[in-house]
Amino acid sequence: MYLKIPNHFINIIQAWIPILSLLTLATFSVGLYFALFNSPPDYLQGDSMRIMYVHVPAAWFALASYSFLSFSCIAWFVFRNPNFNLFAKSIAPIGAVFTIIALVTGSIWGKPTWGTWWAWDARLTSMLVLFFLYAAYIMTWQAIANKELAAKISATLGIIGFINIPIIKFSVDWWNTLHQPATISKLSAPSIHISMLTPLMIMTFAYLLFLITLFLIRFKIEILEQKISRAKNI
Amino acid sequence: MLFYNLIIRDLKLAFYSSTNFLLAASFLILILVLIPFVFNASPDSFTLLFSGFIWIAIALSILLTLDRVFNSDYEDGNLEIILISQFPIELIVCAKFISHWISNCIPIIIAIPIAGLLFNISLSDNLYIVVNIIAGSPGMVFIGAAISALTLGSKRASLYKTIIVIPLYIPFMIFGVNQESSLVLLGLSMISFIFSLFTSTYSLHLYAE
Amino acid sequence: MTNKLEINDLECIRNEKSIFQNLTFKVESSQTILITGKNGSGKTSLLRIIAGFIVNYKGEILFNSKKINDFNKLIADFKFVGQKNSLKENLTVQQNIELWQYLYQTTIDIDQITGPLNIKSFLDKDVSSLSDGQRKRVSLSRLTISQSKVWLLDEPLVYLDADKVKLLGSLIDKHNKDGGMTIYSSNTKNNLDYNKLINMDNYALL
Repeated sequence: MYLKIPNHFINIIQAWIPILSLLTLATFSVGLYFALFNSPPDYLQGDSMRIMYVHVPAAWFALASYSFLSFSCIAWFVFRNPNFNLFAKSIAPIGAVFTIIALVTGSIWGKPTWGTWWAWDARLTSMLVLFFLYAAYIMTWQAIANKELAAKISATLGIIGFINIPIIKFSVDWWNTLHQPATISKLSAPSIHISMLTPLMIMTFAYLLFLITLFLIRFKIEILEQKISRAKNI
Repeated sequence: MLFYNLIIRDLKLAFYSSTNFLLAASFLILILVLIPFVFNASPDSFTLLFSGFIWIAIALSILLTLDRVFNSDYEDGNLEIILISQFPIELIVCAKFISHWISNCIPIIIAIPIAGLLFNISLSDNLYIVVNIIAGSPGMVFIGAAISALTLGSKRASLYKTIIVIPLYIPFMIFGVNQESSLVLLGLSMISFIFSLFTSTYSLHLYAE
Repeated sequence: MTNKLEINDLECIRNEKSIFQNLTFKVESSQTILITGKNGSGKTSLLRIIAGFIVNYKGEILFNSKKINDFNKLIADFKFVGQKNSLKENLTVQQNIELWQYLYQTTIDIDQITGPLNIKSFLDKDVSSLSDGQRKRVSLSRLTISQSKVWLLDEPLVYLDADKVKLLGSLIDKHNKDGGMTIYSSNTKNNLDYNKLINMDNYALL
């Protein structure tokens, strides 16, 4: 298991990080301007629905990050290239933070909409479970001292979580139809007006840039840490 | 046949350290005993909530016993003897699953009608609960055993194992409290059997080193 | 029938590091091999590779010209007594032996198991009340439970005093006379007889 990343690659990452950070900042400013000032309030929920522009992209990317994590784990099992494991290890804390953002904004949104902070809505509950899947993955790296072993165990866990997500989603949905009639359908507006779609798209793009920036920073740290521990071992 | 011998051996081991056999079932009853103290409600509402309590208690009792599937044999070295015997690891894992289910879940299943008496549960309701538990508890045991095999090497495994296992138990909980879904539970148990078999076999290969 | 265990050009890799390499030796029936070497030179790793626990190695291990696979599922003629005693603390010695008999799938007379290492006197005691030397003897008594051609003993002499070492020596002699072979690791001066000595320091990459 030797690292196949040349040194100059780290320099390239290093050069991109400030550029991407600035881009992220710029896109967020534009997106937030559109979201907060230059878009109409919802006719049912009023201004409180503006939190959607922060909430929805966070939830999307929390899920997308977990898919990325799982596919990296699968790819690691197939190709045995340790970089895939580093991908998964780098994205995990970011995905966990995005999940927290989605959970917190979701419950802030829930307060005016449902009247409570938490409504055991199927999506929020699945999000909470997703957070625990991230937590389990991150903890594995810390709980197992032997790093080679930790790599294998955490990759297995990443895949288990991926199999588990649809099962949990299905059963929580089923449970939800049983216990929680129609109150939530307010949230999933059937179609979204173009004036709301534009800020949402800009915010999604901002989140994507934010995710990539954070990912590159974490990835750089993981590579350097691996280099240090290898240097210690020799 | 080692398969049979291994099951007998695990059952004897549970029987010799006699607390093992009773631990899960008595833990279950103790959790249920706590419930009337913390709910200031009429006995009728206990009856409504009983099957929910039961499933939470089962999940906790199974979690409590997970250290005995692979961990104790791994720590004292008996797992080495088992692994280099002439038998495929998949079958060793199956034997472990079965013996663990017998030594922990059968006492639980026997304890449930007794617990039902405490909460004034009718016989037919008890029957539904028991059928669901027979369908669902194997899956919970398999998953728990697989995760404990996966975390054999970590020092504080019993704590952080819980965080991995409980999200995996959510589907069992959701369908467990519904009287008509014993077939879904059976299906879940089968899916978890396949996944647990692969995971445990893979983990035992890893930790043998 | 004589048996032959060949180790050809073995290299052991642990945590991306090579522990030892170029190790080649041959063991035949009735032979005893002693493995010595400093701590960390790979004595235990070597025994665990032969037993089939460690699969991350380069080179070849042949038993009667058959390649050894994971956990020796094809051959299963190995008995490995590691540094863990394989004892359940809360059970008595006799109960432990009974559980082992299930794992080895034989039921032989208890005297045959307790005799060679003289453990009969504490058969009824709980393992938790035994001394380290007594535990080691109980652990080694596993060797007598079933027939197997190759004994792999990891540090069997630790905690044993001189006359107990002699008892183990005669047990191994009897095993070798019946056509078995023994490979054991040790770091003490007070060793059993051996036919061949492997000093791991000559192969280790420290």
